[in-house]
Amino acid sequence: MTTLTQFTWTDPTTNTDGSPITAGEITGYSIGIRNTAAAGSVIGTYPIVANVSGAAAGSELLTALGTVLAPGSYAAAIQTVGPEVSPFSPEITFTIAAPVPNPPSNFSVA
Amino acid sequence: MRVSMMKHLWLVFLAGVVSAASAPPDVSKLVTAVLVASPNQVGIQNLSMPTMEISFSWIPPTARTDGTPITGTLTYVIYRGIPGSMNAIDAVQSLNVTWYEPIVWGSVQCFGIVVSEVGVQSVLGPLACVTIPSKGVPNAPAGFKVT
Repeated sequence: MTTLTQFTWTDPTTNTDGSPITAGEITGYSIGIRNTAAAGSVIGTYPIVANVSGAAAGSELLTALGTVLAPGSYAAAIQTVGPEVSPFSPEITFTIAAPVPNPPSNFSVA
Repeated sequence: MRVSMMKHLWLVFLAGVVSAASAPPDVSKLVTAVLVASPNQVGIQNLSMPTMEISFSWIPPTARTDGTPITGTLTYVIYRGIPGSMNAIDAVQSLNVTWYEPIVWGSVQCFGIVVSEVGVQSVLGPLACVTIPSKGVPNAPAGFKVT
């Protein structure tokens, strides 16, 4: 199984009214994450929030989230941060797999 | 200056009447001024920074309500604010005004005119108001994924 390492996204260039985004409108991004198996977990409410600085960030390593995601099923969405915040993007889902031990080595029969 | 975006909000003054006091000696004789229906407008232009263009014009009164001609020089006092709280912001002898200022998104802008003939002022005429809509928020990032 491939180990997930980072979130990526495309920065918006327009506002909801069609006008172009101007300097200072976006100061960063906020990634919201929820454990889909947790009690009360609903779309749009994210107990885990990772803030990403920079208007043109474009990606964030999972190791930079500020929290370690335990093995489980998760949903995440992202929004812009600034004087006005954007709506959240559609959610994506992903799974953090429990680590599997490597097989024993030097296995032999004598 | 490069114009990257241009939006216009049109403020149409309803053709109305501005009550105005007459010149001395009889201040009870009111005159009228009709606001022009076009090109009265409030426009929004995004120039180097979000800037709002405000411009409107009017037709001057030519006679007092008693039919006597206006003889004095007319001055037009521009009021601005919201209904019930209007403040004089300028006095001109031209028949139109235009100025620029930063956009105040989501605000209501009202304007009215007082006609002054040789220092005798009319009451504030009917107001023309425009609502500037709230500015859109950024769209959500696209292509969000984890790899």
